Amino acid sequence: MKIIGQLWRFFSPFKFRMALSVLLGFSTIAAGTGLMFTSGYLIAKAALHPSTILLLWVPIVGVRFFGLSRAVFRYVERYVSHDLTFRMLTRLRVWLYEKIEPVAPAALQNTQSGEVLTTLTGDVDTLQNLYLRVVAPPLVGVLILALVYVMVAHFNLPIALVLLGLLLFAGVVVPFWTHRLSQRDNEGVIQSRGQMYTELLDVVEGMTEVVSFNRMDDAFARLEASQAQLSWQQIRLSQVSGVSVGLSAWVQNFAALAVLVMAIPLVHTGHLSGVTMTALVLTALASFEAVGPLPAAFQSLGQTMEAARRVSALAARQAVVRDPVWREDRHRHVTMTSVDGENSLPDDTDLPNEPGASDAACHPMPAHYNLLVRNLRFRYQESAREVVRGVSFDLPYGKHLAIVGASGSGKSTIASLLLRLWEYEGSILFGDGELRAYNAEAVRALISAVPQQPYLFHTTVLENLRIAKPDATHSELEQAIALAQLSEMIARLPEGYETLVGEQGAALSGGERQRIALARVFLQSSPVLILDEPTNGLDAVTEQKVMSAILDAARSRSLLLITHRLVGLAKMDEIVVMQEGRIVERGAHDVLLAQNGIYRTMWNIESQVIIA
Amino acid sequence: MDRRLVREVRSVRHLLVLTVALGLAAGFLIIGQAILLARVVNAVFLGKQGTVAVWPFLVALFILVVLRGLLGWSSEITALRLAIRIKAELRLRLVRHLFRLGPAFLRQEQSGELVNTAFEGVEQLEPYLARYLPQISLSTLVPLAILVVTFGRDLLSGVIFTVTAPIIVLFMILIGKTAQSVTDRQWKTMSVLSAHFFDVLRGLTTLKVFNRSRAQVAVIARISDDYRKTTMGVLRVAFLSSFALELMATLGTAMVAVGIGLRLLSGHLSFVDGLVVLLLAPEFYAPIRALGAQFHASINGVTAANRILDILGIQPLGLEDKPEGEVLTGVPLSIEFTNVTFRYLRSRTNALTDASFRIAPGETVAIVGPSGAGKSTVIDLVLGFLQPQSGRLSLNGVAFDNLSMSWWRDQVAYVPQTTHLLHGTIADNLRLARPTCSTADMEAACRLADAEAFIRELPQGLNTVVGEGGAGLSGGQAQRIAMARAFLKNSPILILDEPTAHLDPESELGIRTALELLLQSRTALIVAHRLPTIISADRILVLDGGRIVGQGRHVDLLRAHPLYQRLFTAYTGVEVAQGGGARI
Repeated sequence: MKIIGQLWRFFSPFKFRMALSVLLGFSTIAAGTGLMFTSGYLIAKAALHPSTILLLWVPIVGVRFFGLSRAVFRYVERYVSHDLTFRMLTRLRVWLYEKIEPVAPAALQNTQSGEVLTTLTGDVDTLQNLYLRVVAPPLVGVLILALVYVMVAHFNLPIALVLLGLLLFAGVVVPFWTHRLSQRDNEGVIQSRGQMYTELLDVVEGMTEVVSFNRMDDAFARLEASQAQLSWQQIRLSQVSGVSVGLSAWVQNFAALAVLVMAIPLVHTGHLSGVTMTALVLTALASFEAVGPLPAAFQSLGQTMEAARRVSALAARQAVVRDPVWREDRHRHVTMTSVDGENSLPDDTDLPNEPGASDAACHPMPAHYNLLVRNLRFRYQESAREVVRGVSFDLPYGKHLAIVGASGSGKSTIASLLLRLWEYEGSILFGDGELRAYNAEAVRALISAVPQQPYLFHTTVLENLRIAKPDATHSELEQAIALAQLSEMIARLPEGYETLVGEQGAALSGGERQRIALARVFLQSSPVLILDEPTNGLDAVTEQKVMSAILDAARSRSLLLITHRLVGLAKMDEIVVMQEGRIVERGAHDVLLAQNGIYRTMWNIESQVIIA
Repeated sequence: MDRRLVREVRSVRHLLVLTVALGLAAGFLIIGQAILLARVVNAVFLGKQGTVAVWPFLVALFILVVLRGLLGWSSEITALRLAIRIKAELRLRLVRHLFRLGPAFLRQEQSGELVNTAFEGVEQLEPYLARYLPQISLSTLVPLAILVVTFGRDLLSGVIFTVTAPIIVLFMILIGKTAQSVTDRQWKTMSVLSAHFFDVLRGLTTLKVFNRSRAQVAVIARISDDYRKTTMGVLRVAFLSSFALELMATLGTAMVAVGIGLRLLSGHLSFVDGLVVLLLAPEFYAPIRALGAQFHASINGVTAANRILDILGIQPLGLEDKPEGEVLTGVPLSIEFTNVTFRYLRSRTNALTDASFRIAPGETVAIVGPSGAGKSTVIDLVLGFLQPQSGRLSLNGVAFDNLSMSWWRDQVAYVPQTTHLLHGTIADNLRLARPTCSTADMEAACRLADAEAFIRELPQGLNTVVGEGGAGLSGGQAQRIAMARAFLKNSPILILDEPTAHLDPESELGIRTALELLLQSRTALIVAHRLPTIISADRILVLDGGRIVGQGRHVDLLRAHPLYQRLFTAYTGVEVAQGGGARI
């Protein structure tokens, strides 16, 4: 019920358009029914050879009107309903984005990454058809049923009741029953589909192994078995579909017969005219157009509710990182209150509660840019193990610190915590204030970062750079590009800065994507830089150039370099080595090498790799 | 496209014929029902008969109605069965073809897209196969039958049908064609739009880091709304096709009704004939209109079908297995490349040019070179995943084309750079190398590959499920399982692509030791990235731009080969001392 309430919110601004669209849909089918009614009336009346053609004038006009108007109604109806769908889609997207933006990345990434978004894609596609497939058909159907009932009852009540009953049987009982029947088989099909998909994925991604070990026959036999299972399930499901189609065809024609059988005695006794009987038989046949789309609507209903439930669950998530709420109390002191869902709204209505209104006025900024991290702890989920386990380090303004360690040691997580993407335990002091006491946006304005997997949007190179600085001048762009060693690439691209980078930057190489992310950071002049594997995917020569550009750009800024490559670390002020969420070694490059510990081992291994 | 797919249908042609036959039978029932209904109405209305007199007709009608239900049921399940059969056959054919095309082909494509085509793409064929395909015949046959009946009863109505039907078809073709390209374009922008939305969602973290995420709300609203406006402009035209269809069908019915009415009035037509034709009028247009609707419903399927048929049309790049191919038993094997040149299909340059070298039995040959030098091409050629455009690969003098590929692959253990573990237990993955091996064999191999310790720590040991949805193993652990497979296979030739990704120190050491063990008494071809592997190789091939630019031992190359020196210094940052020794 709550979900229906939420869905209604999407419709409510479009009540008028929706009513219009339903009315047009109703008129379309009504015109079709009317056409058959008047046609039947016309020819029956004509068969009685009336003395003058004038008696046929009304039915002839009716036939012509309905014959012409139906197509017009249908055309306008399609136009209005599609327009409505697009308007709702806009609303759905904006609403969803506004809900997800504050909870990202936590809401999108703590389960198997990607999966949430893929489901979401499908769900939004399903929801965008909500009106056309689920909402409109039953509403139109109800109106048509009412019309048919009133029209037929005008001539004879029992016939009207029987026809109504048969229409309801075709429009409600058959869809509901077959839906129930198919549910059991549906689960089987979904399971077999899942199995088939996994097998296919496995075989395609593991093709090298399968072929080189000569195991094609085994793999193929497995696929064949999965396919046989899937086909068997689908055949079972097709039985249900067959029953539904068969019953629908039967009911429609049976209704015409039933109307006829009931009308015959009435005509014989003179209670009903033969003309009306002819018209009613034709009406009965035509009226079933209204219930035709209902089985499909029923099937879609389940999927739609499921999609709506998932989307609303996602949208209902609470942000993990919440900005402090600052408000002026009666003594004109700025205090911070804890944020807790609905309760966070100020009680006094005269206080500014628009976040933007009070932001600039009373939100503090760090007094200086020294970062002090003390006993930092973090786990992604309450049940999961800690990935950062009590890490402490100092990054005084202007100093350069490197965090090294194998993948999974927790070093990238620290970057996310400093950027306020996740909530932390322990303490991070930024200019004497606790990091969580600042607005997240204020923190991010002072810290520039290259994330571990930088994201490129499917737009031009230029737009991808401008994310970092929307008002960047051409010369600023040129400079950032040169520092990131990308000038050559820009010159080579067919349309230079205006070249589309493809989905997720697919048109560029991994190293080029990395350097675009780096150029973004070079565009900004924030006091703190966090670079997570900035030279990933670069060849040795470019790597050295990029590293010296980084050190150059960071000359009077703080730099936190997160890496597993040890090249160039000699120039860092301090290096901390992380293993399983803890700092295990720390010191300058030479000191660490002399220690003969993990850092030394890593160094030895790296020196042995001569060509990547 | 239609014809190519119909050829696929050949094996299940009887089902298609049956579906059409059932549909046609339903068409005859429609005609019979119309005639009976008209007769009963006529008898009661004009003949003043009671229920008793028309009883036999009513019973006959009831039987017809039941039969129509049964036909609806049976043609639905036949049509769906037809679709299910073809889908299954096509999917398996596609996968079999992907096997023929092999790993080298897959590497050039996006594996996600291929899986999607084989899975969702094939499923999307259903509306096309089950509905559109039978409807093509039905939309001609049923109206034709109705037309014959109509001409027999009322010439003028028959003429109206004959004139309007081709106009409808003409409209369908004329407007349908333009509408088609319009709809295509619309769907393209539609997917661009939905792609934009998800692009923004995927990149949300990046947007957030740059404090740009809130500004996107307005962008999304604006783009969606712009899109709605342009699309509605397009749809205004596109919907005209269905408007024309609808108009001709209802107008046709209306014209028939008015015409019949007027002729009844003048006594030129009997009521029964008039009513039969009127009852049949909507049924005459219904199948033609259905064809249009089915066509739109199957557009996705048509797109998918084109992609599937395209893939099926691609010729394999590699060598196909010849069961009757030559088998060399009991002799030491030596591989020889003679002037081998290879170029990928869509490439403008050679991946490998004029390569000649020989790997003697027991020899370890390392390949080094910058990325894109042709190292993986050499390996793909040796594995038979590719075959050269010119030159010759031979084994003990026998050309690779004449070898039995399945025998050859049994002689080679291949350890790729990144190992894909198949969905199943670790034991299943190990048995890939030798299906008959015992647990003891597996444990021994794991010990040799330094995989024993971490497997023991897993909850179910060797029976732990890995791969898709199973326990995630680290890159180093997966690599050690691949090594264990190589030990299990125990084949005379080893082909190995050294991992470049940084492994943790522990994995690194284990893999090094395992590699040394594997190399003993085997012929080996290694794409090498690490100094110890390179130093211990009997011979090093230096590749650059698809050509072999140098051969020899490490010390000699370091002294005399400029590219080799450059590769060496650039990465380690260590100066090459005079005389070849490196200070680390």
